[in-house]
Amino acid sequence: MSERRYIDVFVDGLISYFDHLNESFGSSRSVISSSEHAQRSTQSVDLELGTPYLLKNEATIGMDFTGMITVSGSSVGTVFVSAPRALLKRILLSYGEAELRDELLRDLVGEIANTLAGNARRELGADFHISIPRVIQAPLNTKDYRLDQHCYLLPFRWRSSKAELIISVKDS
Amino acid sequence: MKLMIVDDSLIIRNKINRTLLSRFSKVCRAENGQQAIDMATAERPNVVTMDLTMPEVDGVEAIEKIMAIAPETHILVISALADKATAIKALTLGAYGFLCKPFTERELSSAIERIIDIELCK
Repeated sequence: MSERRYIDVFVDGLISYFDHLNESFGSSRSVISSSEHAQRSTQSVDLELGTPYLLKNEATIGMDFTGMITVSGSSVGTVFVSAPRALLKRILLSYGEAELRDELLRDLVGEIANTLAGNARRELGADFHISIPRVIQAPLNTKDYRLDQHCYLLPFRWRSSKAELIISVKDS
Repeated sequence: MKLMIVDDSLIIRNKINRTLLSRFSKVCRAENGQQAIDMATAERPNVVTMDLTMPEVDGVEAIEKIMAIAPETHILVISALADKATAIKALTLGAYGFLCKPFTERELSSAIERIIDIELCK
């Protein structure tokens, strides 16, 4: 499977995640995209997708909180969802949480990563095995995670807050 | 009627609780499969919402054991694992339904209402 296909599958998952989030809370629907990826969907709300780009070796990535999923089975690699505190707090408020403490922000970023990776199995099948999410609360360097294949970063914004989806997956 | 919410995410447990609280006389919560098995044995919930990917004992094993302990329990799987094989496996083990994450309150309410209808017809 091509790297492009993996990116497409995870972008679909990202769009679906924010689509459901907004549907739960009755926002109006609009999509803004600087890449062709989002043009497949007109459902996502307040979500702006950037253009995926290839990360250089030993790049420092990540925002305040990063959810990491290790992939095994028919594919191998790692998927990260990284977001700043502000975006995660906005999502927590959308969930109806009154408390915005770090424990919940860590839980949320792990749950988002788990949801995107789990949803990828719709396209990639049950042999696309995913780990329980690990949460990192600091910037991280790609060399520390043995990302020995191409690693793509998709920047996105939700309600004006920036975040990153990082995909480093290949066929096993 | 008793509900047990099983998910390793506190946010998801809270979301399910907020959505369904008014429909049940008692709600208990477990954050992994082993807690769910222990709680199902002690509390005998009528309805269970069950995540699959959890530490220690996962949801699949928990479904198997809960169905062995209390086969009358209605289990609604709520999981991000969106492939057909996982859904079929959960249903084969005795789960009543499968709701894929992410889900809206409306989707969750609708799935639970169907289960409540069955419970009320007993």
